[in-house]
Amino acid sequence: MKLRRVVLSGRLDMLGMEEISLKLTSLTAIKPLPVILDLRDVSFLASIGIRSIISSARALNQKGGRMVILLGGNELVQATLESTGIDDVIPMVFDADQAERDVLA
Amino acid sequence: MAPPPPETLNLLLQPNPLELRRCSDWLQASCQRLDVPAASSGKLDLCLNEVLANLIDHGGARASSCPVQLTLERADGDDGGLATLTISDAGRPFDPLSFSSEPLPRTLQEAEPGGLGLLLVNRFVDECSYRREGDRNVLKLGIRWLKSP
Repeated sequence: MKLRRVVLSGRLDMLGMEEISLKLTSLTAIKPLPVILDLRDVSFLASIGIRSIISSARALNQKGGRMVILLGGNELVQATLESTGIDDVIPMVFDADQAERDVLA
Repeated sequence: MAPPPPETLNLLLQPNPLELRRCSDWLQASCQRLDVPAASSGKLDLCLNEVLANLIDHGGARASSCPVQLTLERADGDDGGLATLTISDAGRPFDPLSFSSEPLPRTLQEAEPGGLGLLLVNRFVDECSYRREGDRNVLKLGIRWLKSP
């Protein structure tokens, strides 16, 4: 089965999201594919970035797709997502192989 | 002899999206100068970004024409340190401590895309105080860390 990997890096703040928001939606939410959203190289995730991830995951879900977030050892982004409870509604994994297994399960 | 007063660092900035990164660079450099651990400075950076983003979006016309003043200071206790960031702005009166957060979502459909910024601030800081001083909001955010053994 096909899957899509979307890799983000850098600061997902107001300016960062202005640059990638539309692209993120089009890559994650247009086709009902399993999507791994790779945040391992994201240095900063602001609430505006979380909003965009939630919207994309919802749209994907409505089309029958599924999203898994890949974190690696990114502790600040992990703490940010856990603080907002997003880890309970979009699965988060720390290892690339596990991400693939989970999103295809 | 009394302990030396805590070192403080200051920045003035215009509240607009283009200033957010300069402000973050200043905070990171200042935290490094005051030996604030990276994990604590990362959280403080996120809180500052959320407070300023909120001010830019909802602070009103006066907020966008008056500079924001930032002050960072470090204090040390027996068990560890405390970094306190003071944010003074001329926006509409707004006490972020009065913000009541919704319960955390249980499903993707329940997850509200809005209101996450202040939730993050409330979850990340160890100390928080607000006062209205003349025509300015003065918000203090503190993050603690333990001394390494």
